[in-house]
Parts: sequence; structure tokens; C-alpha cells
Amino acid sequence: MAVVDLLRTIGARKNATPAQMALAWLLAQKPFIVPIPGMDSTKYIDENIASTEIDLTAEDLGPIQDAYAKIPVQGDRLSEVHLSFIDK
Amino acid sequence: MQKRKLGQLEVTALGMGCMGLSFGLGPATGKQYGIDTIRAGVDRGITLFDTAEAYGPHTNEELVGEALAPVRHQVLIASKFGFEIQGGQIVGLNSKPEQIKAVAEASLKRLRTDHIDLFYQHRVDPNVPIKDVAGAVKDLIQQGKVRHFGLSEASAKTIRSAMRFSLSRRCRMSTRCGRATRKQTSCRSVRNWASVLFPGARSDRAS
Repeated sequence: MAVVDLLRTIGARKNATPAQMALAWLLAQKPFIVPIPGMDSTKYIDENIASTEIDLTAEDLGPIQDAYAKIPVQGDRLSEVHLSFIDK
Repeated sequence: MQKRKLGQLEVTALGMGCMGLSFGLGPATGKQYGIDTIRAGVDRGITLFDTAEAYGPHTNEELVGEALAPVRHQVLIASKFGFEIQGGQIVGLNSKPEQIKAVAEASLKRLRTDHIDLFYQHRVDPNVPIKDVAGAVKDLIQQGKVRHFGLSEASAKTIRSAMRFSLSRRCRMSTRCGRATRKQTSCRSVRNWASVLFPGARSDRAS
């Protein structure tokens, strides 16, 4: 997937996996955002916690945003049934 | 790990989403594996553990309750209400006040605790005004069974209504959080793996 490839490329510079980059990106958006990713193994727990140490500066976030804007996103984030439960 | 504030609730920057150990992401893991994994999160310093009545249904709260019982005083538990569950299946939404209160009692038992730190509406129920939902949770807060109220997948309009109807002065001071949740719309594309929580009322400041 193009977005994962993007995070993999940018993450390589930070020695971070795409999942770690995604968490670091979310944490960098606002100080009161607290992600609650699934952590189904101790390996993922350790990887996720390590993402809190990745410091994404404006210089990191800008290119992510620019590259992301160029990727067409297709499909919905949830199934039709699940989307029917979403408050609009 | 660094800490963050959800309203008045101080938590680690990442909470542990426990759902996948029981539900939603393939078959449930073995019970001992689930308990060991949750306790590994505790050992590594995570202080927020997220579950819901709907996960299983019920089995994930039971797992989280058993895993955290020995360390309950060190951690915060978030759980959710809002579905109609019949015969072990989610069949629709239900946030009627009497349902919310019944779910809270059942969740407390499964979670082996006397309070839920953050109790939030899993999905907005279009048939129940948000002020009634907020009022039911406020009653639970005043009884000491719940500490904070929140919403999930709510629109900005619903969030503003919830804050207006139910929440304490302390929460009203946290309007920044309301803007955060509006901002959250832009986060929705990534919410398969991350939920952004909304902080809520404190009974001791309820006006």
C-alpha cells in the first residue's frame, strides 16, 4: 500500500517501522491525543512504546503531509455495517 | 513512558488496546497468553487499558479484569457501553439510561473492580438524546462507579451537546478538548488502530 510504503521510506531514516511512524505521527498532532493501539504480543508492546520516543519535528511532518496528499485514498475505513453505526 | 492528560485523567502516552486478545482481529488468544500479555503491558509501565462490553462480547472485559485485578490500584481501565447484545451477538445500538446502568453493573463484575475510570459510549445511539446518555453516566459518576465520561465516533455536534448537558465546570474549562475531537475527524482515517479519547465529567465538580 502506498501509505505504508511512504511511512516505511520516511521511517527508515528514524529506524522506525511503518506502525511506529503512524503512532509517532498521531502523537505529534496534539498533546492530548492518546492512541490505544492493539498490543497482542510483547513484541508489539515494545515496538509501540518505542514509538513514543520518536520525535517528529515540523521538518519531518511537512514532507509526510506533502507526500500523503499526493496519494489517492480508496475505499472506506470500515465495512458498510460498521459505518452505519457512525454518528454524522 | 511520557504521560498525557485526557481532561483530568493522567495516562501514559499510549494506552493498551486489549480488544484483539479476545475479539475482532482473528481468533481469541488463549486466556493465559492474554493475561500474560496484558501484564507485560503493566510491567512496561502502561497505565491505561481499553476494553468494551462488546468485545467478545463480554469475554474481553473478563480477561482484562482477571489480568489487572492484582494491580488494579496502579492502572486505569476504560470500557464502553452502547450496544444491544442478544444471545452473544451484537444486534444494534442501545444507550437507554437503564441499559447504561445495567451494563455498568455487569462490566464492574467482569472487570473485578468497584469503579471504571473512563466509561464511554461506544457508538452514538440516534434514538437516545445525548443529554439522557450524559445524565445516566453522571448518575454513575455520583455513585462512584464511574470516574470519567467519554464518547467514541461521535460527531462534533454530539460532543458539544454532551458537554453542554452533562459536564462539570472542570470539563467545560477543557473546551480545548472539544476542539481536539473536532480535529479528530482528520484522524479518522487511521482509527483502525488508534482511538482518540474525549475527557469527561468529574462528580466532585458537577454543577
